[in-house]
Amino acid sequence: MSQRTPRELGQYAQEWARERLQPAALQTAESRYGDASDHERIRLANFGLTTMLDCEARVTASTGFDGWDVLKATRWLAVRSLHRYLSDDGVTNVQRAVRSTMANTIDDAAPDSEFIDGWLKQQPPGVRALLAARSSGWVASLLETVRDADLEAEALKPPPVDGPPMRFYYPGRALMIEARVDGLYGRKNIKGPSAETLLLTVTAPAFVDAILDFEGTAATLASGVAPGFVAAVMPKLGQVHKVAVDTAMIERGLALCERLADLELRSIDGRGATGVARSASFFGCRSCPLSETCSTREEAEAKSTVFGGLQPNP
Amino acid sequence: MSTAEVTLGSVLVELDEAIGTSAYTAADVEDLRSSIDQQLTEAVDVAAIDPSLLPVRVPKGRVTSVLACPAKALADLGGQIEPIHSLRGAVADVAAVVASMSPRKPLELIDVLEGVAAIDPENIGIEMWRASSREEKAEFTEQLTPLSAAIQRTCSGVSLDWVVRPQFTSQAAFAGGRLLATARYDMLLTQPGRPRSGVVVEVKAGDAHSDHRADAFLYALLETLRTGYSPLAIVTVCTGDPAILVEKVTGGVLESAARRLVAASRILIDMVANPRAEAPEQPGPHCTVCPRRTHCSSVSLAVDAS
Repeated sequence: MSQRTPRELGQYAQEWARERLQPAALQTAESRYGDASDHERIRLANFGLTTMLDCEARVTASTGFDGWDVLKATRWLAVRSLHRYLSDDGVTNVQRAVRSTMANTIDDAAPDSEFIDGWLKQQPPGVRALLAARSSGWVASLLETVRDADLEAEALKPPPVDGPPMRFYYPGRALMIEARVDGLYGRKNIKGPSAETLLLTVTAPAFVDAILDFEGTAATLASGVAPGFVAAVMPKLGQVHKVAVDTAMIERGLALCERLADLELRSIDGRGATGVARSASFFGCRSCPLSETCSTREEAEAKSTVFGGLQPNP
Repeated sequence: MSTAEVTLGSVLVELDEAIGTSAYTAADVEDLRSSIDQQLTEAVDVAAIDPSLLPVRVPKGRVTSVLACPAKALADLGGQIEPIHSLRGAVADVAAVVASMSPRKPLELIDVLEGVAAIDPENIGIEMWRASSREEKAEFTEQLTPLSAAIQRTCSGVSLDWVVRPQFTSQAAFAGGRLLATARYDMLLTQPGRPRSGVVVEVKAGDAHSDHRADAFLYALLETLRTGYSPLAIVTVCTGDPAILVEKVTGGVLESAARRLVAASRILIDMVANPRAEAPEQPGPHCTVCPRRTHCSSVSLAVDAS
């Protein structure tokens, strides 16, 4: 079989997604995603994926978005600051880009802390300073890792934060797949080999292959045209892991979507975590709603892996 | 410049001139990485560790502790730090970060504590603070305010050209990912757009200690392996006199850190591969604070030596 063009791969992905995700989609509301209530719709995105890769059972206990915190706000602020830094409006300093983004956000803030602007405005000075530091560090890490990996840093473009979000809506049903992109790089082509690369920051290198499969597939579904590559920027390791988007990746990505959709449905239709694989982890279990009744957690605590295989000495 | 005027900002001005002047080349870094990798690959191969226990984790703190005494390192695993010490450390870390962000004026202790609570809500010190009575809070405030003020003073004057990355985790994988060395720097400062401008900052809530120098060497090594070039310096900020210690990164520093990393990793590989084996004891000054001191045969040797 000859290799598909980016456009053909996009069409293939969308057709294949409609078929494979149909069983899950039919369980959701027969409406647009935005019109359905939380209990009738499914959103497949990065957070659910990384949770699933860590422990499938935890996805079934997911309670959805539980408000803003420093971790979530860091990326929100960082992506918009990167946008400002890379745009042509004269901000050539990362710190200044973060500060002006934060100041503008607070100036335009609604009083409600349910939204990021209102939440930011309510934060005390110490929290805002930490948030600015973490966000500017996030931007600097992305820029440095890209530069050190010999990608041309000047060709880096910001992600589309103000443009159309990278989402794929299942036709006629309340199921949505969302791609998370932190930067774009290289030229797009729809008819031949595309140099367009989607960059995303990955802090869990153990899951990097699956994350790239999911994000490459989600971005392809969203735009209908496959990017040439997806690349994980891993600041902790100082590495960039870049892979081509091809038919095999789309199939692996859709298998992940299918599994995640089934797990998300379980939290809606009452099947819960029965019969779902459990995997204990030191941090994951601490924040898991199932932890009180989960036998895997007890086993994990009894195992020596908590200290990297070392047993405390009496 | 008198000692009293030294701040993190003034140290960075001096270091700025050294950006790009390191004599340690990219080829040297690769030689070092390959030498460490070769030694650790051999050690992991020989140990035949249960795959479910891989990767062998070698965090910075464990390098120091196993080289001091493997038996104490294991005994310390189950222990918990005193809440007030945890709170002091967290206050110092957050005070350093907010001061490095060049605020218009220093923050009050309560703002620093809000910062600690936001990034580390499960910190046992913060939990203690929340549960404390009004009188206890006043006592803690009296203890922590001078610490927060001193650290903010020392970390002031940093130009906006520097980006501050708080609690930055660096990792280096060896033996095909079967051994993972990690360290978390209190702050990593760099100038975006200027390669080789990294400065690692370690913040201490007390006086400087000889172990801090060995820690600094290890930070230098991991940062070098992460980026492919050596950082400008490792800066330790503390409450003693001097309040700032600057360790320039040379080839000797990196090679010394590599030897320590390999030695500590070999001990840890043995411990993970043979969990039932008795960990070796090594007497030293650390015996006085060791949880095993009541029943450890080495304690008497340490007392004799002292």
